[in-house]
Amino acid sequence: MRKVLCLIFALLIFSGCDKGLSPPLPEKVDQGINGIIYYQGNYPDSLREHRLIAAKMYRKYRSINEILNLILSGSDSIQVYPPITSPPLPLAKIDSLEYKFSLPPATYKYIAVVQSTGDLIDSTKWKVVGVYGTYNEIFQPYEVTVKLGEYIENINIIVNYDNLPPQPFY
Amino acid sequence: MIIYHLNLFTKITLKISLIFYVLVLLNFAHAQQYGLIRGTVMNKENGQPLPAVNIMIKGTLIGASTDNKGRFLISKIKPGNYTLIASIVGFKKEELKNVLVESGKETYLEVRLEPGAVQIGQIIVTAGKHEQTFSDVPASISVVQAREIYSRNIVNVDDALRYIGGVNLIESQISIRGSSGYSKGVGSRALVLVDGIPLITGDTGEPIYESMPVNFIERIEVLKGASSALYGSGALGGVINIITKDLPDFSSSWLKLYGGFYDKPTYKQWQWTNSTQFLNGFALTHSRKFGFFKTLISLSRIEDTGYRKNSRIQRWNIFSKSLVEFNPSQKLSISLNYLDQRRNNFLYWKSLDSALVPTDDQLGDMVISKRFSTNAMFKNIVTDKFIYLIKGIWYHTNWRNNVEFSYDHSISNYVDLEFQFNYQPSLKHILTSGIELSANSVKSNIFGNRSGFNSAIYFQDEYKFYDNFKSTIGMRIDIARMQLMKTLAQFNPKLGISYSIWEDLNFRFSAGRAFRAPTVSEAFTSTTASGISVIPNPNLKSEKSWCYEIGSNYKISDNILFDAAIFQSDYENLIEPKFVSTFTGQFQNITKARIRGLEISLNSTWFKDLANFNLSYTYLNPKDLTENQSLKFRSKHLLYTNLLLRFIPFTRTSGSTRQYQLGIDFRYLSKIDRIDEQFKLYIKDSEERVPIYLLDMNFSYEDKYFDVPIKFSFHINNLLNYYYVELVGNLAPLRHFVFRVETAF
Repeated sequence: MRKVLCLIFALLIFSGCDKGLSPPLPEKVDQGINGIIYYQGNYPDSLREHRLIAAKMYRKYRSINEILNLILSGSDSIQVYPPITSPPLPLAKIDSLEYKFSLPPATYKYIAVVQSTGDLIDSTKWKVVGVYGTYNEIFQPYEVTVKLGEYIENINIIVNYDNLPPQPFY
Repeated sequence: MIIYHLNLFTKITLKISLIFYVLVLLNFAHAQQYGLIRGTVMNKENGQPLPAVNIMIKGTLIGASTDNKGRFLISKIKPGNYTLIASIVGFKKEELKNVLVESGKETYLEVRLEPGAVQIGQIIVTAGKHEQTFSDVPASISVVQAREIYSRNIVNVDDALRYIGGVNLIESQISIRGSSGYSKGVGSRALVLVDGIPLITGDTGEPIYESMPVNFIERIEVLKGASSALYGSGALGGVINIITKDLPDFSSSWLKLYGGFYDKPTYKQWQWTNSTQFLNGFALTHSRKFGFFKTLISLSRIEDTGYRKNSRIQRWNIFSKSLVEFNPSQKLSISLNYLDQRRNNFLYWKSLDSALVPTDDQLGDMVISKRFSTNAMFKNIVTDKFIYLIKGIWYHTNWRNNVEFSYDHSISNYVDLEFQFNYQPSLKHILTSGIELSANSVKSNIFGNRSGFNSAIYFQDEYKFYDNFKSTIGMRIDIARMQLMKTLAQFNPKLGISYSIWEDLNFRFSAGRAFRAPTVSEAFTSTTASGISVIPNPNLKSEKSWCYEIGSNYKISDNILFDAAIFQSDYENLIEPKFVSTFTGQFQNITKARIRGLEISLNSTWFKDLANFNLSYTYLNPKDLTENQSLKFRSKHLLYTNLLLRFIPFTRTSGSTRQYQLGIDFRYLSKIDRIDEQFKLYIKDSEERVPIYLLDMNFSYEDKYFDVPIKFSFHINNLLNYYYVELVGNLAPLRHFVFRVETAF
């Protein structure tokens, strides 16, 4: 009798944890931007870092350190591709690079390619080398609104090492 | 030619039987001097009268049950010395030896029963069509008592059946030990009787639980295994006999009110409404006695807004039962039942993501039904050795399906008349025999205009080799005729043996054949719904089965009864719906199946019947021999437990009327292995199913206020709010809470 009661008790406990049927989990919704980065001009030597950023705000930052701090603190105001825990974009010389940058739905006012010839956290070596801008003024940042479940195509960026965009620092 | 011979054979057999019965009647028509026994049965602990106690006179066919004041009367007893057996669940069986009955005199007895024992000597009537003790029956039988039924908030009779060991339901389709899967609500492989009279519809051949008198059940007896040798078509998996209460000897009124609501689903995707979904109902009953005439009438209503979209139910029900006692040995009972119901039709969900919403084409779909039945039973105790009964029913159903683009409807009539004779020529034999005639007619746009006629004769001999070794041999011949179909003839024999090694240890063996004739709906349905067409098949044959069982029950102690059985059922020609093309289905004889299994049960009572614990476990191995796979829609494991605790403040002898009761039911059914593959074609996420774990709980309090008894109870069904399906694409009821008040005045 004791065994029977234990078995029933175990079944009850088990059934208490389980809720039975449930609605299927929603498929993972993804959105962001994709396009091509074109590289022109004299490719820098000893490139150590190479990433894409998308910032919800466009303003002059006090220094690159402020941007790095924002990224490292996990703030969603600046998104990085590939994420800083992953290897950077190719470092060898290439003519162009197709990318697909997953982003939370939001309006991004500043999308740029950044590179460093030093370490990830060496703020003195970072530079903005390309900006997604308007057709006529390629250095004038152009905002992009990313909607839930949508990828915005053709966010193409030109990186011209002979003619770099203005740096967003004071 | 064969049919001609069968018809001739039936006619001759019927004539011979009639002559035999007339002779027997004449034989007993000689006036004899008899005595009678009158008595009262009380609770030994507190001296309170005990109602519904069964009294049997050993070695005779006669007995009685006590009324609300614990009184009983048995007449037509030949002078002599007798042993009386008094039994009721929860009390020790009492045998009163050397009760002297003298010619023309009355013997008075006062019986006191001691509480707190499980019953091995419980009286049942379904197994042999007469009163027998539980230990004498050579087949598995489960009995659910009124107090278990009423501790739950049962709205339909099928809700009460869900707690019986070895029984499970898919929607309202009942299965005893795996006998049925799911066949879209038509045909039933368990015969459902009310007071021994079949209550099945003329068109779909199914029991309609809504039209059964749920508020007046004394007990439900479930006879498991092939039972056609006594009951004919439909008793393939067994028989469910709903025994209604005796009418009280005094004028009284009862009122039952309940109300409740469904819990919100946990998942946002399933929340289809912001409103709370309610359920409520009432039953008002009045009984009265005018001399030798007793009557009861009841009006009840239920309304359930439904936990799913498009699943509202509204129902009115009128039930009446009357009893004319011409004298203590001649009684006529008549019942009337009328049901008026509107029920939205939820066929299947949109998808698992919208599990409580049907597909758009089902919205607004409604079934409107009106059902009327009247049955009568005349019982005549000619002598203590000979009783005959005449039973009959007329069951009229009328339903229409109010769908925007179709208007399916059916009007059916079912009539059944049975003459039953119980004769005890010597202490060693009890003979039971009878003739049963039934007819049905159907007028329907989907079944056509059909009529059928069935006739049957049956005979059974219970022979006592020794006091502890009994055998039962029985047989029945059924002839079923239906328009446009071949006449079906069926011979069903059975053999049963019961052997008591000692009083507390009994063995049983039974083997029998059973059948089920196709119903009008299976043979002639022609309709289209939700893109699926069903076409007729008048070439259907009867389903047949052979069942074998070996079992034993052992009374471990006064308060614990253990029962075990192993069984095998071989089925052939099972009628199952089959898709003949992608969207066209037909009922066909396709499945040859074998179900093997075992069943154990434990019934116990503790603290002088203040606590009861029951458990049953059934293992099934249901094989589809045609496809060499598991049979569809069957769970392999069924585990049901029930705990009932009563608390009476102070002592039992204080006469306190206050009582608290707590009831807990837990049921586990393993995941169904297989369903019909074709469901995938039109029901999204049809393969989604899980094992079933269900926990129900109820608490009640009763007392008397100004001498008026009143009972409050609170019920939580599906306490764990476990989400499961019984039927493909149909999420079972969510957790719901019900509050109930009952009173009598």
